Amino acid sequence: MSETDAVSRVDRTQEGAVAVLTVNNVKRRNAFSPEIRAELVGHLNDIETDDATRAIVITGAGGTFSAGGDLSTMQDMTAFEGRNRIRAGRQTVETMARGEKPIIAAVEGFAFGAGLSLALLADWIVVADDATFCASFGKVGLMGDMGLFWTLPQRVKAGKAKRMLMLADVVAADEALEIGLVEAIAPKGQALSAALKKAQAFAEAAPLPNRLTREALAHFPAGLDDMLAYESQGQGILFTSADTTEGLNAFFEKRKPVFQGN
Amino acid sequence: MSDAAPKTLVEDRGSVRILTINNVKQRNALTMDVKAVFGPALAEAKRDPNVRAIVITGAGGTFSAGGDVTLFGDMTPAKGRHVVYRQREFLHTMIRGETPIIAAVEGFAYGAGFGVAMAADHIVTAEDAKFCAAFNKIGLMPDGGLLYTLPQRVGMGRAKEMLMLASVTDGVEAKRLGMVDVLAPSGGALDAALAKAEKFAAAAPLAIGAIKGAFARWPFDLESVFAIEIDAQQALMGTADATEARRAFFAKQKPVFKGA
Repeated sequence: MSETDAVSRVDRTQEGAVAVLTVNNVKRRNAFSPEIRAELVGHLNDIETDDATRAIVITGAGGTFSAGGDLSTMQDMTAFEGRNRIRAGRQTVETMARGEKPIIAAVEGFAFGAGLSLALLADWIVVADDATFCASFGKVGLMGDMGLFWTLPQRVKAGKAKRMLMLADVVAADEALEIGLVEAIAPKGQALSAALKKAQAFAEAAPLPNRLTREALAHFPAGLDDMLAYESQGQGILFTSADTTEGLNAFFEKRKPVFQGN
Repeated sequence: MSDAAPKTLVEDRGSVRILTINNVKQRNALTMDVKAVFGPALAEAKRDPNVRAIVITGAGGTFSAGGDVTLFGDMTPAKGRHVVYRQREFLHTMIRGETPIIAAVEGFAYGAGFGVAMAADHIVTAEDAKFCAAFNKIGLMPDGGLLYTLPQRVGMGRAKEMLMLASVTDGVEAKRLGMVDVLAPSGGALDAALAKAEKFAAAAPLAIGAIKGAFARWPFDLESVFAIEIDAQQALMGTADATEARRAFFAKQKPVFKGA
């Protein structure tokens, strides 16, 4: 514990085509400090142009995801210091929401406040059976941030979103699965391995269509004609890709396709 | 099923029109020649004032296996775009048209077939039916309007898994997730859909049309909702059907709507 006491960083490791980003600020339960934010964005930008990486897993060190913003760095903040902080948070949100690669969140322990916001920016979320979620902002006199007003209603219905945001309802794993806040539950301590397994499936899926799909869905909420335009333009390009040829050959030859991303 | 049989079968039961995609040899794949018949059949049903509800189903125990994979031989981006763009005609008719549409799904609703099912207002599925946005398996992205329709029904997290990993969802799971509205026993989807279609057909058609029109504009902000309500409600209040409904209400009778 003593060695990790002082660190406030995001570690990157690589498992084949999957990059694993671990928020590591254990002493403060992986509080989302400005340093963590900057390191996360740095890693995500590197990964964006790294062709060998097809999927990203985000998790937290020491058995918890993230307890939220770092209150210790919020003391005596002026209005403009606060504004700058939220603007930096915006960069994190945009990088995650607009990036082309699928993001999987592996949640153990707490995903509170900004930690909840961070998890919900992922495409697919797996949670340990004893993990809990809370938009705890109200407890310290704040409102939800880091895109929560955009991400939360995409996954849960308006009534529940309001209860979470206005009353800081704590949501346990089984309820989170039931209401569509997360996609899967793993036994305690196994969220990361479940996430890596799923990340492998994302990594093996054809990457080009998923880039276009992720980009189109990031325009949420979009109207019918916008979505029909995305699908016809994107599909037109994909029809002539080498991966579609491979996919069709594999289909007719009854084998598993191998997609190269071109 | 001979090749000469129409690619979409049309049958009326009272004021309910049944459109059956009929391309059994290719599991009702939405080939260009199927689309060439299915689209106009839908448009005609929509135009016909005697049709108060449309049921869409597939022949031979399956809904539709999706697009036509034999078409890709000499594809160019422009041709590909055109193939997908052509679907917009029937998707517009389904989503923007005034007539309520009920999908009756047996067997497979894959790819664009899944898209057709999700574009319906009300979806009845056999418990052993299977839904899959199979596109990614052949390097393609979802089409058939799924980027628009699916997140509305299952939320973004589940929609992304289905759309990006081409995961298969059976009828029972689909019902649990709210992806479909009614679960029927295997082989019973059409009967259940027809029973539900009767209810849609008996509802005030102008109001149904206005409601469909409002939903088709999703997403909208509050001001737009006010505008839609004011415009449509004002028109509906003056209709003969609204007068009939008031009369029937006070006479404790069932109203008979004429769509006027």
